[in-house]
Amino acid sequence: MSRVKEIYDKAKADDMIIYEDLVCFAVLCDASLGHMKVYPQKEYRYMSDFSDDDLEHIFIVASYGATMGFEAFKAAGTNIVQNSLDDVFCLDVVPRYQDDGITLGWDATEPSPDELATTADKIQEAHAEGATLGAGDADTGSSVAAESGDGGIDSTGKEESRSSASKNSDDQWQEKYFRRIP
Amino acid sequence: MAEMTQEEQMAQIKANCPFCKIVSGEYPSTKVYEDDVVLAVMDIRPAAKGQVLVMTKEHHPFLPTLPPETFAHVFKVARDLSGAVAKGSIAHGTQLYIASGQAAGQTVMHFYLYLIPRSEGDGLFMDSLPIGKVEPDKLAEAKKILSHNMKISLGKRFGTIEDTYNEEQLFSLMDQNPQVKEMILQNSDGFKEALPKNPQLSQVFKGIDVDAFIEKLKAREASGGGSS
Repeated sequence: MSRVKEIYDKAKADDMIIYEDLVCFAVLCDASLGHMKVYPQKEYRYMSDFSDDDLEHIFIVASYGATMGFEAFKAAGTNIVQNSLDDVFCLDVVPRYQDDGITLGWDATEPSPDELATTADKIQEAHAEGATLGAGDADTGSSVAAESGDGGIDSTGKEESRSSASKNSDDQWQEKYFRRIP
Repeated sequence: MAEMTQEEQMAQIKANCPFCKIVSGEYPSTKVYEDDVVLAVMDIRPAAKGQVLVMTKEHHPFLPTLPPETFAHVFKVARDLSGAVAKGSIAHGTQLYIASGQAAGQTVMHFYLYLIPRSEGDGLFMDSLPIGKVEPDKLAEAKKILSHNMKISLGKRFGTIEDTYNEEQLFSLMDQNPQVKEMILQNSDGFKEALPKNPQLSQVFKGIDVDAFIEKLKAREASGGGSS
């Protein structure tokens, strides 16, 4: 049984599915009043796996879910956060309330203009090459980092090379990372 | 002092919006991608190296206010950039993050989303959302409301159910969406001005005589016919 089917079946058994159609389903959760997780019905793992239509569809559902938080529960804000729990793409829609105790922010770093420009060049280059995150290969755990194993620039601007051993490590980490977001 | 028209208000908002100034070039930025609809720039205060902001070129304050074609385009661009952000940052993945409203961390009232490179042990936020923060009775009530509202709203949006409300359905919808009802009752003119600019509300009120509905809603509330 696919992982997304397992998630669907458990949510169904718990009677927590609040919306479903042919493309996605939404499961009520309890991080805050109105919190839901929106999953695709297909076994998508990364955003880059989505077709145009399915991508628009799942974000429309998430957006409407966010609007419900404002309209029905008088939320003061909403976060929509991509989450890939259990190897399945998911959008957490989290209505936010004043002093709700949820911390989704971060301590900002301040890269230099040169660092920004260097990274921007790399991103543009990768975009021109059509880099994806495991597109069409979600079950293998392959990743861009693994695919880009022939070198790159690390955070200090230093040339970095990746051995095949580190590629394997990336694959293992990929499993760990995408599982550790609850 | 004469009241500003809505167009004048929007012009003032745009004139003071830092992201509109980035789009116009008045404020500097490090561009990553640009087309007629969106601009993607490097975040100057990122959580992680390589973090990108994808913003609409037009000023739209929140996700639900994006026109449908802009909405679809923004996410296609985000999808197409997601792999590049990870690869360009030598990260293992990318996480999309949207904040709507100040309580959620939206610092500029101009729609934008983050593409955040994620790497092993980066210690970034949101690796644990709290569990069990909603009392069981409130969770049950939320399920009832959301199941009802999402089925109707999204059914109409996707054309799987008839896309017009009758008056009784609208009253019911207002009762389940007190914030919208409150706005209609307390600021009818503001609501009527906002209506055509909000695709979701426009869909709900499609084919409805809004003035007549507002009067009936007010009369219904005055007679105690509605629930809050």
